[in-house]
Amino acid sequence: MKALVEYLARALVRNPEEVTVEEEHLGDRVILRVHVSDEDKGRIIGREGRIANAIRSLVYVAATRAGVRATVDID
Amino acid sequence: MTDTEIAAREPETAGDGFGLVEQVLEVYGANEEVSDELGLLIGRRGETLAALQYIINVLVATKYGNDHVVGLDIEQYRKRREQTLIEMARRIAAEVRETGDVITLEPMPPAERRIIHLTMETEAGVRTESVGQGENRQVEVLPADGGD
Repeated sequence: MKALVEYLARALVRNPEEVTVEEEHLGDRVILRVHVSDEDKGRIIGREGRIANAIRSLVYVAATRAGVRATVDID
Repeated sequence: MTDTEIAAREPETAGDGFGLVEQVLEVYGANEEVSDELGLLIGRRGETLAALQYIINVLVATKYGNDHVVGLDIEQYRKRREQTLIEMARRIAAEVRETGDVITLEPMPPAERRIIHLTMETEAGVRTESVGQGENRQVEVLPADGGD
């Protein structure tokens, strides 16, 4: 899941070297915190959050396969 | 990922996004087990497939510019859905012609509404309109002569 989010985030932004993803486990929940440069925030969130929501949909699939629930936070 | 096959082809029908997309990527499982699993990637009412198609297009636009729009199908989900929608559209058209009633269809995503509109263009005696906003946007099928 972390690798998926990193892959997508790095492919979407202009400064891929500034992308970091932290993974935190709370029981069967996984929280993925994505950090990108200020300049790239819009590129990863998208108009009306559309890109962020598309990322969440794909992470949901990966999480379902892994038997966990995942949330994606974009800081 | 090694368990899937991906083929690229030209769009052929409205359900492929004919006239809208440049290429259609078709994803298949290499065996039955993978095919079943790909259902997850299609999602409820194709929502995950739509998200994946959207993000692919954002990535393609980021890399190559905006003029290479791609469509995505997984295990022929869109193709099968298109057939269902076309058959439904024809039934509804016949009913509207017969009764003169206005029939409002359930809310649908843009690509599905487009299939309904295009199918109705080939049906005599009916016309269509879209009503409602966002996720609740619906196609209305009306008799061609009035009905407003």
